[in-house]
Amino acid sequence: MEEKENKNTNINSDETPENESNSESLENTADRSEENNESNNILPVEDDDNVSDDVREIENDFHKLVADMASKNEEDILKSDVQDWDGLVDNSRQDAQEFVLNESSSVSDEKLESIEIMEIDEDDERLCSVCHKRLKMTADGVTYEYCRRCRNELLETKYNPKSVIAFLLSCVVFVFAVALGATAVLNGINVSKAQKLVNKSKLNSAYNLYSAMFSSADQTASSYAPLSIDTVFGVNLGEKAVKSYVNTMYKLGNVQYIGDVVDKYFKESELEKSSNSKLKKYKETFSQLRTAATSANVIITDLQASDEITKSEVEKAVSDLENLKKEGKYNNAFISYYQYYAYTLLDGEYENQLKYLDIVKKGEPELTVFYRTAYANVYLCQGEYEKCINECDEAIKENEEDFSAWRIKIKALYRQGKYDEALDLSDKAISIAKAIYETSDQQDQGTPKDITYAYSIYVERAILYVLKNDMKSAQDAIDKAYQGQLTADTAFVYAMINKKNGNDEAYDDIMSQLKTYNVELPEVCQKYIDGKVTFEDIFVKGKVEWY
Amino acid sequence: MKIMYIISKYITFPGAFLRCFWEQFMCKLQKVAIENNKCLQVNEMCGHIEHETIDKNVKSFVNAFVPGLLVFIAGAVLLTAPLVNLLFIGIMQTSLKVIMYVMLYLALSMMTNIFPSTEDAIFMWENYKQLGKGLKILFAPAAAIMYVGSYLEKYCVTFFINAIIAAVILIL
Repeated sequence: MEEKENKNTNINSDETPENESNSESLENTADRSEENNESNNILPVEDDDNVSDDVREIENDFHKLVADMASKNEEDILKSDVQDWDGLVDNSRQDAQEFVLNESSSVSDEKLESIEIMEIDEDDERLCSVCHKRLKMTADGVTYEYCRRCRNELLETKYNPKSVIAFLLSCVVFVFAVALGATAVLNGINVSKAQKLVNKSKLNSAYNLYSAMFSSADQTASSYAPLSIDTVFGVNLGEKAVKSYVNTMYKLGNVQYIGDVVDKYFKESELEKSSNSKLKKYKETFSQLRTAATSANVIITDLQASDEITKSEVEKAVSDLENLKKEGKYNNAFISYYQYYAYTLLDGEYENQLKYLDIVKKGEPELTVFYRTAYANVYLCQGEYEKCINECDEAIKENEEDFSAWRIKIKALYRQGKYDEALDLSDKAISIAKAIYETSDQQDQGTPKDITYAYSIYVERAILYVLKNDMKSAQDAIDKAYQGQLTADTAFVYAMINKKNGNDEAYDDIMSQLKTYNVELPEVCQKYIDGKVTFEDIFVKGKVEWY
Repeated sequence: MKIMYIISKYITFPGAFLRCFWEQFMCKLQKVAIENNKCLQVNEMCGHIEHETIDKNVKSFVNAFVPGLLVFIAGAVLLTAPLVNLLFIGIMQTSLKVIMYVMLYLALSMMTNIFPSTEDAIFMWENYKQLGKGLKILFAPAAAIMYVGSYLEKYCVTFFINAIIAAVILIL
């Protein structure tokens, strides 16, 4: 038993015959001592009355010392910032050895010799870093850094309140961020898509997409408006989108809306910045155009009111418009556009038309939509097909979805007798029309996009098929054009083809519609129906006043 | 460098606290004893919590990897809106601009606190080395990122990278 106790207290005495006699029970007692240690008892429990008084005395003193030192060390540790636990344990062990050696000086040498300080295996000597008690291996063979009691307490450590607050706030911010992030990403995708369309010169599609986005943003903002949080939760389309939208409108010539959009998103002071110089210019252009249009439209309306427009009437109108220029408050380029338009009301005034178009081009070179197809049309009428096609190509390059340019080019081709080439071109134009981005509010329910946007191309296809003597295809094409939009030229070609194909019911229907609008079928159309002229005479060789 | 490290943790305290929360959460989930749950302290454990050494491979890996991953996800989500709005779309409303700046700060504070402490990374690395060949290959990228990242964070490299990112976003 002495052996057992000495082991527990790290003190061992030499084996005696008495000890040898008890050697059989040593293993059992050692096992029990393990059990004691498992319950974290660093000090042994004395249960053997056979221990000599001297040894017992020394042991008692030693226990006392260890307990004192433990408390003393703990105080020292608490006072100091020392974190070297292993070092402290080593120091304690040395202190204990010294103490035992000193104290044992009072003990007889014989007994002193029987006592030694045991060299402890490092693995067995790990102490709990919280309570400094000796650690034991657990049943599953793992040795923790803490004793079981301390470890259980540490496992129950509560969350740091600040961390919990951070977590809860992050949850709220996370939800908010997901909403804002998703909106931003969706807007970003749409803006990116619209800008790509602008870069691909698909201006109509870009305009449609921007219109849908801004309309949706306005709706969202208005729904938040009563809560006064529209600026936070409202859809942020961003500066780049607004600028691109305005730029697209400018290129398309939809200048009437530019002022409203610019005023809505930019303050006057913001427009003074160099980065917004283009916006400022666009807005000024819009303002000038509106002023010019207001005054010029009065003159043009008076001119158009005449039953038969004469050259002198046109010249008077042009002169009146020239007087407006002299007033100095109008943009001369825009007034010149109206002068060009006045001359288009007369046949053969191509030189005058070109003269005023040159002024428009010089004054507002960026507003190509005002002069590009106008030039092409003049060149077509003059029979200068190469020039006409060049202007059309430029217009298509600037806006692939400019179907008036496609139409003029098709006309220029078949007037040169290039029917197949013209037909191929019309196929291409129709495929572009089919790919136009379309918003639900702009969609004509049930009408395919190619018919909605490229109905005029179908008129040209119908003419081309007639020229190629394919009356069935011509009928199909003109039916589509009729489905798209009923204009004068569509109605006239529709009437001719239907009459020629024996569709009297459709012919009568279109004639009654023309009557409603107080429009008569041109003489040349009647001649075609009567078989006096051919489509080639009308559309290739001849010059048709309504066409 | 230790002072810089501590300053960086104090500057990015929202991310540091969130990381500490997830670290503690993972410790509790895996029954790992926590000795000190104080987050912002003036030593090399600033921004991390002190817990007992984890001997088991998976536990060690999870404890080093998952808190950072969760903080990274939160940071990435928070970064999306300011990144798209400030960098790409452009913001016209002042109030929204302020919100985006705050979100940008929060996001980058989280991105600065995604890596484990060097101590955890070393233990994780030692445990990783004991894995089988297949698992080693599977976990190699994550283990390497965590190991290297912990040193980058220790020497404030992640902090400066994020500060530069923030500056670029704001300037552009």
